[in-house]
Amino acid sequence: MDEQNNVEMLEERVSPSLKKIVKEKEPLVTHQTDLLPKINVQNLNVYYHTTQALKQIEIQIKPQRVTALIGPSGCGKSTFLRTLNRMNDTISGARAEGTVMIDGVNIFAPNINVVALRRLVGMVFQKSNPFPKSIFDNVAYGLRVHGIKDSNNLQERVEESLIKSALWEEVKDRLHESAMALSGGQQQRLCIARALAVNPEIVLMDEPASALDPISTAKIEELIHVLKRDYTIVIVTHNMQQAARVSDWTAYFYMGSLVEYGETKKIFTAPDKKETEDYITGRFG
Amino acid sequence: MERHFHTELKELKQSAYQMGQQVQTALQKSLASLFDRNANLAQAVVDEDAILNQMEIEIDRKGHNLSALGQPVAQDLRLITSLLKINTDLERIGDHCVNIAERVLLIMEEPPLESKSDLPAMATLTAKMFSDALQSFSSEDPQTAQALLERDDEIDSLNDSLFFDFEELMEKKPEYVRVCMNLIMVAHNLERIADLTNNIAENIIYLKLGKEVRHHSES
Repeated sequence: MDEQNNVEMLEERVSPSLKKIVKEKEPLVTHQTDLLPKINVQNLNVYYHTTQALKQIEIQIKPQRVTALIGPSGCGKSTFLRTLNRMNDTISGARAEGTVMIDGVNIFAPNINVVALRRLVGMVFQKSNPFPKSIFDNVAYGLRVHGIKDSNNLQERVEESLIKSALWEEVKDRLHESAMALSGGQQQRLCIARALAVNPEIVLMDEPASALDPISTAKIEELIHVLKRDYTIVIVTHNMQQAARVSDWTAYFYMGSLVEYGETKKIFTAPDKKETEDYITGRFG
Repeated sequence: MERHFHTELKELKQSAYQMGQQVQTALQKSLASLFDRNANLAQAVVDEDAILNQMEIEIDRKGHNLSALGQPVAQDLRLITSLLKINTDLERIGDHCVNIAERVLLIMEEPPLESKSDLPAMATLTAKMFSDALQSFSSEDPQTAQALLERDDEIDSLNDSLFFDFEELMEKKPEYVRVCMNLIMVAHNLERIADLTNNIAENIIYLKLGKEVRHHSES
């Protein structure tokens, strides 16, 4: 296959929504064609002022799979997660070197529209953070920000997002009540609905169930399992069993370095590195 | 600081090792009862099997509790799953020792067999394989375990040749039919003990290296 065909094939595979984040069209990378990773990270270094938080990270995150990031506190996993939608840009003194390609587009390129990037790469946080508005308005918020005003369209998208986040049946009769009245687990699923409403392709989750009871946790985990059919999910978790249950791939970080990355079933039965083994079996960390 | 879970896991492994020692004693006694025509030893093997049965249940119970409560992964998971399989293999080897002892009690009702056979060689080799497997389990030594796997062919070949030797003897001397039939069954039990010892060796390799060698697996 010649170079020109490669470019055309790749362009076909890049989603229309991704193309929107590039302000001015630039030639796309052509070195990967088959089994294109959704996210391809090369030589990533991240610093907070003079402290290096991530060192030479290289990882290819698979599309429509759940990738768990594990490691002790301060290992860099949350920094890595926030790098994927440039949330670190909001932290004073934070800077990144290297490349993070999403569907072949470098998100650090100067022509990237960061707001559009964050719509494409949604995020769910450890603590649910609904706005002090109605359930409906919480989910519709992002849509309105992106210019959707038509009420039928809004209604449709809100319902679709609440169905996807497995919350619809519980709230369909009280959409205009305050989101603050929902339980912790429902609030977290509402935040997932809010992230899904703007049609992301990647969903980042930073310990999404760490503040929830076992039943709410199970619902979130089941939801993650269903959502991976449509989304690429990257999740940070301190709960080893949760990582084992929900993810297809696992990356173990330690002191800013990626120690091991592999299929979850391999990592949790026979990891290649002793450091990984010691961490997941609780002999260290 | 060692986690409580790892202390309990070590205790579980120690229990399995103790069961292995008990099986080794049963094997030695059953073979001694065969070659020394000692009915008391044979009866002791039969009677002491209840101890092994109890040990098997206890190890299973502890292993299931540790799995449920400790939620093991990686080497801990491999150790527990391997211990549970080794536990079953040890109990089955104990049953084969009982089978040998019961054959000995029947053989002793017959006149002693005067012709020579490869049965002592097969018994010695089987006992050595089991002893090496137990040592390899104790020290988690995959090299010794790997070497054991290569010795199984020798046992199979001894079993085959013994079968033909006894068959021939039965044709020539019908008065030995009953004793030869029992000795063929003893050889069969030894062959099964060697197979189960191989299973133990495969599990030692898996628990230590995470490498699958069962059924000549490449992965």
